[in-house]
Amino acid sequence: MSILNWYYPQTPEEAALLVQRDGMIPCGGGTMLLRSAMTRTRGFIDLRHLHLGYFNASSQSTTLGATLTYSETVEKMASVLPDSIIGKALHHAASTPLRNVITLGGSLAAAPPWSDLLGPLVALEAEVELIGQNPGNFSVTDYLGRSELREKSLMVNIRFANAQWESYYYRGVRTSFDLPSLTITILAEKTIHGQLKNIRIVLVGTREKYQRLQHLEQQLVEERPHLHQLPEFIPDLLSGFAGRRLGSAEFMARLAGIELQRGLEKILREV
Amino acid sequence: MEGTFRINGRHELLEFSERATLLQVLRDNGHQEVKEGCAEGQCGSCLVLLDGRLVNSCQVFAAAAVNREITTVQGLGTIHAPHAIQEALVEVGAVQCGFCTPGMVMAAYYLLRHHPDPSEKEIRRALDGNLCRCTGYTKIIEGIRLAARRMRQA
Amino acid sequence: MTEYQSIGKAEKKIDGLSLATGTGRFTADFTADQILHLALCYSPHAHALIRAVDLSPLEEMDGVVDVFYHANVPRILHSTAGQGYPEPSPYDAVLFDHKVRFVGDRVAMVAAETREIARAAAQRIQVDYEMLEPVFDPVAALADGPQVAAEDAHAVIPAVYRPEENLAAQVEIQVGNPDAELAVAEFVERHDYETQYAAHCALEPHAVLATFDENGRLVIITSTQVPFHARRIVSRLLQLPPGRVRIVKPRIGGGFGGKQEVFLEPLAALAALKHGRPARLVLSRREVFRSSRTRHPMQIRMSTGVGKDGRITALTMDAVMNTGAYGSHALTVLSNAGSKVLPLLNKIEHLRFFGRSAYTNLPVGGAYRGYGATQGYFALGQQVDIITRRTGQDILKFYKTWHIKSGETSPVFEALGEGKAGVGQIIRSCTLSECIDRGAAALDWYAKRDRHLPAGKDRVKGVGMAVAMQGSGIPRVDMASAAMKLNEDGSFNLHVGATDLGTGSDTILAQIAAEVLQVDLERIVVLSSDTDLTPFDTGAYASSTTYVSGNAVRLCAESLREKIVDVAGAMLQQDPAGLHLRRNGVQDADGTRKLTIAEIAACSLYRQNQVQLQAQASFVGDESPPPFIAQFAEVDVDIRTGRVVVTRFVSAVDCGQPIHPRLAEGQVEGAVVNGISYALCEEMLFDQRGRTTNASFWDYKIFTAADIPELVTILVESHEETGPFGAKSVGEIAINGPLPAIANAIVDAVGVRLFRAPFTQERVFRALEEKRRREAAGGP
Repeated sequence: MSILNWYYPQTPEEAALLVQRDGMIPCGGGTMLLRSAMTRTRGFIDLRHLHLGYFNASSQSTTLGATLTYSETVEKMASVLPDSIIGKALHHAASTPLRNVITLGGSLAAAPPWSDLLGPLVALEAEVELIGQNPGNFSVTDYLGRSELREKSLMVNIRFANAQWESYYYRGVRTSFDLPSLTITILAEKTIHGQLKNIRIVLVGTREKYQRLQHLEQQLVEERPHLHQLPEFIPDLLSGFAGRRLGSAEFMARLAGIELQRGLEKILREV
Repeated sequence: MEGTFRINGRHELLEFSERATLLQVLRDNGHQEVKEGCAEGQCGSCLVLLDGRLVNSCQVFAAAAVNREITTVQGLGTIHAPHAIQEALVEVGAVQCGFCTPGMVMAAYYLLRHHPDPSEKEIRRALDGNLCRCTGYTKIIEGIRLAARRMRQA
Repeated sequence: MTEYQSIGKAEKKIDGLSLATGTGRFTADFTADQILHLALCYSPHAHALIRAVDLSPLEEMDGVVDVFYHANVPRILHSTAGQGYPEPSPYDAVLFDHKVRFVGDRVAMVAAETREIARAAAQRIQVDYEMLEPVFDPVAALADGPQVAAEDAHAVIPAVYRPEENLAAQVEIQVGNPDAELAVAEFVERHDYETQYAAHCALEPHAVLATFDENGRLVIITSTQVPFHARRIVSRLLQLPPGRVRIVKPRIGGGFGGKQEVFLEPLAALAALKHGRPARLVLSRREVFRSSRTRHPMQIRMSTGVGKDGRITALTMDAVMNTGAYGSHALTVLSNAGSKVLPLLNKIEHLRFFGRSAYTNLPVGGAYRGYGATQGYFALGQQVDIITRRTGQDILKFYKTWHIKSGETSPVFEALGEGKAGVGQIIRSCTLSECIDRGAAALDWYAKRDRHLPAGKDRVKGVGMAVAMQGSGIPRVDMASAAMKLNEDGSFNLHVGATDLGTGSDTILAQIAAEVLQVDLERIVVLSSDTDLTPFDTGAYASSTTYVSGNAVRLCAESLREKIVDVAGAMLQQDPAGLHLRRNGVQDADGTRKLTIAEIAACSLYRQNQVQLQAQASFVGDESPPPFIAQFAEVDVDIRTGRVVVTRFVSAVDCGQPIHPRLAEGQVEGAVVNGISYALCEEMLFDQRGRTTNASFWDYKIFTAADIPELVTILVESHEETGPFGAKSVGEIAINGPLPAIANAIVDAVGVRLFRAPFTQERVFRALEEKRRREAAGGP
């Protein structure tokens, strides 16, 4: 086994320099790192002294520090934005003790296909702030799509705009403590008359890291179908899925279709 | 590498490898009350409090726990001075093989510190990271309810 | 009803507080100086010959002490099954072979200075394999599969064993003429049922520490259900007399049958003996999943002939069991699928059980709570539901009419035992009809059955039930012993060979002794499962402990009671016949003359006719009184996605007189949740090359507290006159009901029947789709 060193930077600036050295991995909770082989890792950067566990909510936006754990996030969101999709999704993620360890930053950086964080962040069109080799603010989708952004960078926080979203979250699991084989995130914004103004729909668990159903979003806003017409709008997801813990590719696609329809019914019924 | 941990109120200077988990370091240094059932964050046998937060000690690097406060099941109660949760679990017959019990006790303690009067649903949810193959959980839930009642009265 | 002072009381489990505070020690908690850490190297291939083992990559590794593999370890055929002698399981295993038979079969073992080095070294061993064609399907294996077992594998009891045909066991019994009856039946229901590979998931992974006492004798601390069998097997494999080996069982973190298997003890002993150092082997969770033992999957074709009056006239079971790469419990689990199932409906006059166990290149089956009965009841429990639905009979009345009752027998008891002929017996205690009634009442059965009650949008409720029996030990095979002595303070040492796996047997055995001697439970100091210090016991399996070991303790305590009374008589100068034990003492009929047990002990140890008051006893059952159970499931099923949620589960069990009702309930609740989890989501999965693809708790999910339904457990007492204080067994039986009861409840809710377990969301979804297709096509 190769030599591996631990670093305990006291400031983000110090951490930004460290992360640009070869083979350095930031360690928030560490759960994902424990699952990986770490063959090319030369050092871990312990983030605990950087004070990245903050939570700022203004009327416009919410900023979540990268080392906030899932459970801290749930607690803080509950007090400020009780109906937030983030709170809804993370409340059921993993298990009670793991929610105390898993951090937002670590979870988003690893972005495993079973993430309960990914769908909500993509739907919220969140941004991440990075320091290190690629400092700046980037959309979550850019961050996930461009591996060079993640290289030698440290995520400092995640930010998203606040809006009067109605939300729906589904996780397809076998038992309560299971990695979801499928998650569906729906955010909907309505006019004061209760008409659908804006909707965002994200699936996680397809062959892609995430799948935003923009075509469907557009149709729903433009055509405003009645509930009974919904099935005609649900896209054929058959080619999008691979087999997961919950079932075969075909079953996952069928399940996604049914649960998507249910989510939309729930959201639209309240229109 | 080496580092100091405050374990059950005592400072311990321990040597460990850079890749070691907190669980390994605890067990290698006499804290065998912390059990290893899976080493993959699933079974909850190794639960401890880390700065007061319930965590799977197999999912925390020891190096990341240096200078922090760790409470194991022995920090809550010993056979000569047991905690109310430990007594209640024994009384209702919630201890069968007992391998999961230290972790269950930690999860129950963490719950009751934040919710002294939990609903059945809250108890079940608080145990979502603890596996038990012996009891079917029913008596564990009952024991936690009993402990909660006694702790509120105390 | 008899008033007991300890039996039937909620005594504190004697090791409970020790375990709850983390004081109680499990095998992996023991340490020793100069310890050698062991790690195994496993086959990545399902079927291959080992051409060469290259250890050169280990040469430069610091801390590697030794490597054991087929070329340097004696090749002694044995069975790892951990059964009595001679074993009913074939001798088809060796410590290391030149052939590997499943992915996870062991190839070599590294001994090193640290666990990390040992594991790293085990990964670096280079093995040159010559691939052989694997066979995974048991039916194909029997038809014309390549031979899995060793050429020299053989049975050690008279039994059908043809390894060249991959036939690991065959059992056939017939009563009457079932074929003729099936031919003339009003109608015949014939269905194929299939149960899955499942893992035990004891929370403590398998572990062993082999060390030495001051005299250099081998001491093995191990996580075992069978210390005495372990001693016998280790002795034989290491060519040591049993007297040179001591097996100590510390606290055990759950067994469920998985720790009956003696497959690690010889390895640790081998390394310890060769190097004169303690050696420890602790499996990782992944290794437990991949390389330990499993529940044998079984395919059962059940045919029942039904007469005009709706009664079953003939029943046949054709079973094919997959035993995997080795024949551990291949004969006896198979037998139990018949012997524990067929006697239940004992009025069926024409029966046949024909079973075959097949070798394949998949993980090895073994003992698992329920032991074949679980697989068999999956078939019978659904078959009865099918027949009663078809004939419009009330399933509760059907069971109450046809189940075996007190004073009755079944020809199957005598025809089929554990891999050989059984022992005839007449049922002396059975309150199954009451179990059915009380369980049904607790579920509000008649208000829910056939009602398809809505449970929310797209969700429908249903209820189903099943009935089962088990046994209490293996008659005329299982033997248990106990020894007791009296100390001067009036406390007793109770030494039993019985093995407490966490079941609470130390506690209930102490209760039995306390009851006989009329002393407080705290006065009984229990020492169990140490082959040096405690007398022989075959071990904790076959639901034997309460009945067999309990009877040994009762006999032992009764013998000691006689001696105590004799001494008291001498002290009081009174005829012992007029004296009896009461409240930690001895007194005469009207209680005017009394002595405390402590006074009697002190007198006999120090003053008068000095003697150590002590006794010992052994017990072998002449029969195996079955416990009975009726189990009821309430489910709700999502008719669009197939998601099944069990919302309530009721078990009403007749286990005789419960010695410790809370612990008895705990046995039932644990088995039920294991069974529900097994019915809905547990299954070991394999890829096309035979590799286990879900060898972790991330992938192989078992239920947590957040998943369980409301459980109701009702102990319906009976009195088994041959049992200790009327007790029968309770450890296994409750795992038999969840599979059929839940399957039947799904039928009740949505009209689809699952013949294959587990009832995953996708399987239920597909069955619902199939039903819709049939209905759309105008079919039934």
